[in-house]
Amino acid sequence: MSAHLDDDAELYALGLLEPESRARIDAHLATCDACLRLVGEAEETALQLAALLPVATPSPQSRARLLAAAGEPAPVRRLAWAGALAAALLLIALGGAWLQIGPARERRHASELAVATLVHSHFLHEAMETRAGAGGLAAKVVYARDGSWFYVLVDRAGGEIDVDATIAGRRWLAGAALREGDTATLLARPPARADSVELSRDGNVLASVRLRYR
Amino acid sequence: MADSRGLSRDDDALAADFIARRPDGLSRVYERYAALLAGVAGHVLGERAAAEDCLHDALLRVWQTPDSYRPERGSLRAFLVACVRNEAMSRLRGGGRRVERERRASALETVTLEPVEPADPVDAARVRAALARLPGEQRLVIESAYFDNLTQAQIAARLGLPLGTVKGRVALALRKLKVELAVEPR
Repeated sequence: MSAHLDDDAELYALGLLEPESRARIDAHLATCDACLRLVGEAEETALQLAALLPVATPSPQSRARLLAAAGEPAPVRRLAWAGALAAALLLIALGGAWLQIGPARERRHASELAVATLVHSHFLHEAMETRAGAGGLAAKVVYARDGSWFYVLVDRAGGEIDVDATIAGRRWLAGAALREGDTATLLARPPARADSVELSRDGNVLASVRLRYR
Repeated sequence: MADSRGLSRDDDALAADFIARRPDGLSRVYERYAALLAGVAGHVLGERAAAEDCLHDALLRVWQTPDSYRPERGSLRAFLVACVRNEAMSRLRGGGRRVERERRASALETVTLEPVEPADPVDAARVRAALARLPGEQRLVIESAYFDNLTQAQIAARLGLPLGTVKGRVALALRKLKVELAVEPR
């Protein structure tokens, strides 16, 4: 059996070890329950530090890519037993709503969070300037006076919308806006005050706005 | 119903499905934890594409490695966060951001947590309070490691300490933080 861990349990949990050291520890953890518990305890503490980080919304493509790589069927393929025709009929009957079961849960959580945040904050708002090629898109950014959050609201989104901000001259990814019909929203909590917010699709900028704190 | 670790029966059921590699286990894990995990990766890597790649590779690896997670270790959530953070830190070390991080390390920037407003303000306030109760030197190493994403060598350079001292101080600080987090707010 390799040596037990000492301070490496905490360093492992915080991501401070090089891959070679981690591989050595992983091999040890496979056979040593005492050290496994030490690392687990350190990871539980490190997890709580993550409570201070803003959450992000990965793109829907990211989820699909992972499930495809893992060989896990995407939700639509789970109905294969019923045959393509039956699936199509079901889709029509339910208006496609069943496809939204997973995202709906995420959306409900996001919506509750947005309402709670707005109700308990002082905020400002700015309309976004749209670019050529944005179609009929219209958007507004509601943002906290202290810069701790901003909330993007998009009407006639016309597809997926990526939201980015500029903070002290550097780009910061906020995430993909959650779509509901042809509207989309995103509540973002930047690490510092955002100077501007930008909407894009496939790398093409659709709209932007500079946030003025006053 | 959540227990003292903030975990619910849903988390336990999810972990059981993950361990058994049930067909929709990965999908359900993604649905529940992706926002948290993407936030962890995004904090380290700063770019959406890089963060999503990191999340993809880390989750795929643990899913495809038998016995990568055992419940004796702790919660699945804490394990996945550690996996994603380790993957992100590896990418950061190997990527083109070294120069920027070294600049930040040498500039002795003051770490300020106040502007960060996370998803659960109550939980965040509890963690901030626990951090604030740490001795200053311990708080500084935690902030340098976790929030500034510095390596051990960079922390040593920033604080002017031997590498061995940094290692011991980080470990001590995290253990002390665990104690402080267990203190009930008065």
